[in-house]
Amino acid sequence: MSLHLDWCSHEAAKYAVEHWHYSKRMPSGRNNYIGVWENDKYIGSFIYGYSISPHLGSLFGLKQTEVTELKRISLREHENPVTKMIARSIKMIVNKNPSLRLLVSFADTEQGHLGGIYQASNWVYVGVSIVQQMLINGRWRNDVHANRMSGYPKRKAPAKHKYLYPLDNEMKKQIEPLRQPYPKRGRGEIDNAPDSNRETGGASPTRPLLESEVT
Amino acid sequence: MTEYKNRIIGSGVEPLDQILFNPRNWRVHPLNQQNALKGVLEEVGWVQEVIINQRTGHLVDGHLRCQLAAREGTKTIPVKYVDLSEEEEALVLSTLDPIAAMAATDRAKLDDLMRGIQSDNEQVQALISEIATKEGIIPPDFEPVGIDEQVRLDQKKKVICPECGHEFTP
Repeated sequence: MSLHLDWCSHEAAKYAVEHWHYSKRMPSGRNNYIGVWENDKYIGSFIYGYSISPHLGSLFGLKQTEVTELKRISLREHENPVTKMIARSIKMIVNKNPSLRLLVSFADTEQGHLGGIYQASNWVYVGVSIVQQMLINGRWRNDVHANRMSGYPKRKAPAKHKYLYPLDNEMKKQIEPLRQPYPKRGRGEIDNAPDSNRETGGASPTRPLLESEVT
Repeated sequence: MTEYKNRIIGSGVEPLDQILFNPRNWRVHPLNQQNALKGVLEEVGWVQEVIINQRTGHLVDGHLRCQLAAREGTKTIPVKYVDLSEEEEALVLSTLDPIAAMAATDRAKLDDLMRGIQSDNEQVQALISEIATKEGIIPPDFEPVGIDEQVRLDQKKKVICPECGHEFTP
């Protein structure tokens, strides 16, 4: 099964997010879009870009232009391993943006994601990240100004597992001491993401909904 | 254990010219939906009754089916009768379609299902193709684009002064 990664349009990336990513939402901000083709068929996209937080790199003494976030991996059914795709996408991002020094990505605990693909790709796990969210126009939004703005309902967003990928040796030395053991799934837990657990989507035979599916 | 009330009080066949459309019906039916339903009706026929609330006489579900059948010169339509208060009717009318639309898709199962469908009906073929694209089973043929279409993430965006046209990086 041939694999080809190349730059793709915003439209192609959007299609992949809306059809193959659990969030169904395109990330805002300045982004790079990488498409994935298997046997010349478009099967998804990777989106890298500026984080919503301009301070993402400041913890490591980096400027905003030295750190970027892997924001979306939106893939339909595929045969090549995702780790192979991630490795190729990183090469492309670094070639396009040679001053980058660090990649960051998050796995959504609310979706039951642990970041297994980052673990398999040897990213550095540094714990969970909790951000403040504001309810704006009926939607909870991450906002860097949430602490300073009043008049909007606020909440602590569900935690996200944070993974780092240093792009040079100096950054690697700085990041490695922060490494924590990878989170693992407990016995009996299931991945709750609809696209990664087909068993929750079937309607035949009719079976009772589990309590965990209702809440 | 919860036992749900059965509000269905009967079924039958009703002359189309006796059916009272619901004045509170909020659904509008675009041409592609009309064509899609027409294609499936031509290919298969009725498999589901429209719903009439016997207490008010209003149609609760199936406005397009009735309109389409009337347009094609059909005289009668299969009907299911329910007995609901006006408030209950409003609740059902406002939620029946949206609840069905909340279902998610198992693409692999839908893909398998669609592979087994054979139809010469052009409207059915168009419908299947539309579903496949919408559900991400057959994505459009997106082609790669040039690297220049991507912004630089390791450089701040350049700003052009609207007064003098000077370009700078803040």
